[in-house]
Amino acid sequence: MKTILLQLLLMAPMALWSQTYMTVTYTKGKVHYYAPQQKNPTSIYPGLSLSSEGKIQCEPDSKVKLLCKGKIYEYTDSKLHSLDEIARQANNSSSLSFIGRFWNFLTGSMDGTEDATHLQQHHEKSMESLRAGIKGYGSKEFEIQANLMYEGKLSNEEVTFMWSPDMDTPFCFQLSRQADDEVIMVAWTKENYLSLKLADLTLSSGEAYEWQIITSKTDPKAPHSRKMQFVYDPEAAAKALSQLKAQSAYESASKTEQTLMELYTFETNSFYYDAYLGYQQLIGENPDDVLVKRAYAAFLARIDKMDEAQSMIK
Amino acid sequence: MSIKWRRILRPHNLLATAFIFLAMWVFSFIHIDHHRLDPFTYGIRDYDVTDIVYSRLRKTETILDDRIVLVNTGNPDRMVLHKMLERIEAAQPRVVGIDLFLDSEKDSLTDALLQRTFQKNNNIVLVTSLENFDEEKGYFEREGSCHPMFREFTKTGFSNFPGNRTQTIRMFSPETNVQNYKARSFATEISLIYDSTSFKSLKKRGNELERIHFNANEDSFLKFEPEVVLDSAVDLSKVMKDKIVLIGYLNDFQPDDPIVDRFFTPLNQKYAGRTIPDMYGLVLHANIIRMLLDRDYVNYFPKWATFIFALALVYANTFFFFWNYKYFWYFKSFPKILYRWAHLIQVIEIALLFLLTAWIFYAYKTRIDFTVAIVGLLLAFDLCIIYYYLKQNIRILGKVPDHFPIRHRKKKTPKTVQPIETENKS
Repeated sequence: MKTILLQLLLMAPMALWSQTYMTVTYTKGKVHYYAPQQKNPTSIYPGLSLSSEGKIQCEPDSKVKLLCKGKIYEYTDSKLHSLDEIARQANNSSSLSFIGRFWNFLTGSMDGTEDATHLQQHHEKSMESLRAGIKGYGSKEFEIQANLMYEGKLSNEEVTFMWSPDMDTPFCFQLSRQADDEVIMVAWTKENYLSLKLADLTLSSGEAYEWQIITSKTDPKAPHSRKMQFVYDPEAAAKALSQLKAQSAYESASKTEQTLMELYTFETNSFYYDAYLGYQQLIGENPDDVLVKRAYAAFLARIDKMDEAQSMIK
Repeated sequence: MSIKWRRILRPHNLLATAFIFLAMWVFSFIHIDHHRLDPFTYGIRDYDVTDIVYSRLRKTETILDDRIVLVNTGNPDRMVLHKMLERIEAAQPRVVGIDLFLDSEKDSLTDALLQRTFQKNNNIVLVTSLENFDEEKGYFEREGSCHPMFREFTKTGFSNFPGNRTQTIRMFSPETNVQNYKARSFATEISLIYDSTSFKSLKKRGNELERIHFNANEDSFLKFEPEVVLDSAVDLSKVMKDKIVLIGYLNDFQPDDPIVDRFFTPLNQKYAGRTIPDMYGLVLHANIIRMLLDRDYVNYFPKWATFIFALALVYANTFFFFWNYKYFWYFKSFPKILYRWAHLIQVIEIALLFLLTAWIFYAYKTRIDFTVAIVGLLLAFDLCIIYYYLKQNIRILGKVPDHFPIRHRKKKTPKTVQPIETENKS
């Protein structure tokens, strides 16, 4: 009993240290904060201190600025943001340079793909941190599953949305605006994929959208997927890349390293679909490069494509 | 004079240095009308070498100031202002500064309500504007832009900055003469109410103008929008009690925002040829208040010390010139080589002076004015050549020796010691 109490006493401050607090310095419009383990949101205003375990969401045309470890983070889109993202960014940027973070990331990928066991652990660890941030992720109650790479930010002109399993029944693809649930488009398809030219749709830059697959419009119990959220930002990926290309470390790196840096930048900026396409191209160009294969396998594990990841390290 | 000093200090070098300083003094009286060059000269004239320190070298880390809170009024409406003030005053701030010109009467009811709020609270500072400077008498004729019905119950402070709207704001005047009294600036008045000792230390410095130390931008302060202030669900006392609350126009830097109450500051990323003002007046005042409360002043290197430095530098250049002149003349390759050398050295020296100014400012927050040294350097070589020809053609100068004469000390003749005669008593 004494040992347990001692352990608890030692663990309590550790738990506190793992939390990061940030200060709201500016709000415009309505911004909601979801405190940890609380369903109802509260409105936030300047001067409040928020725990990194909570989440925030801006209403349309709203804005919030948060100060964490000497840096200002600004949100204007209506997506639900986990404050843990900011805490992680702040911790990384305060202690390491880009190149340091990139090598840490690559080392983590290599460690995580040493063998099948390590790969499984890497996958579980990634899913654990994702669960904290994405609403509804991981619940296996949905018969139709879509991959994580269609979440985060989408900047591509054309995106091929895929889901599984392939069924005999037709699928209904629904795209709606997250803020007001306004349906942007509905499409029925026999296949388990749909290619869309996002640039042709009336999507606003920086706004959050949701897509879902249903199989029946009338029967709510019919197979369906969860609502996948993404922010449409057509210029953001190019902007992130241009910032990367200005780094001296990028200029001096080899071609493969440069591509890996680009993919790392995509992933850390939530452009998972861009990262996925980039890895596929890289592995096509370097099919025998062990570094590329393992980096790709680690990425696949992080986006919950475990079957492909395992085949990559075999 | 010892032989070592005799080698360094030479009559002609000293006279040439004096000649350069005399020429600089004469040139200072000549007014050149460079109106036609204005578009070009403006960019250079409005540039200060220390701007690069603020613009590029300052720490990017944002440190939140927990003493000052900014409140945006948007397009000011007196009824909204009254309601906001009621909410803010209920939160018990120590000082409330209003950076809005309440210069005329408007709706009588709203004005009366506003006046009553001012009357109820004795911690409000209203902004004024100094008008009509009388150069002969050395004072402003009046402090305007604030209607007497409001200023009767409040304290005031002027918001004028030395320079104009198109120039970069680097200085502020803590207080100035207005007819028969001394008016304090908006920031000075607020810091005085918040912490009277800060004003004492400012007075002790005795500077007519103080250089603003910009160490904060808009993100360094909590910033409230009107709807947040008016929202009764928000507990303002948590963030405004015992604080300085600055109220004014503080929009969001959107491209279509009108450029109202915005200034060029050294924090502007474009440190030369600036085009868009980068800081709202309210943030500018907040920077000054922060500086005054922290006694975080920018210091100056004494003028006499910079003059001595300029003197030494110009002398070193004349020394170099005459030494080279003699050397290259011997090889009959003057003046081609000397000119190349001279101008290269001039450029290097001036660049080093700029770097030194920026580094000292960055490291020690001390401003050194090397203008005299730079102008001296620019003129040194050409004036040395003129001096050289004068020396050859003016007899008196020609008679001046190249070296100071050696003074021979008279050798003291040793006193002869008289042998002590001792009696041999034996």
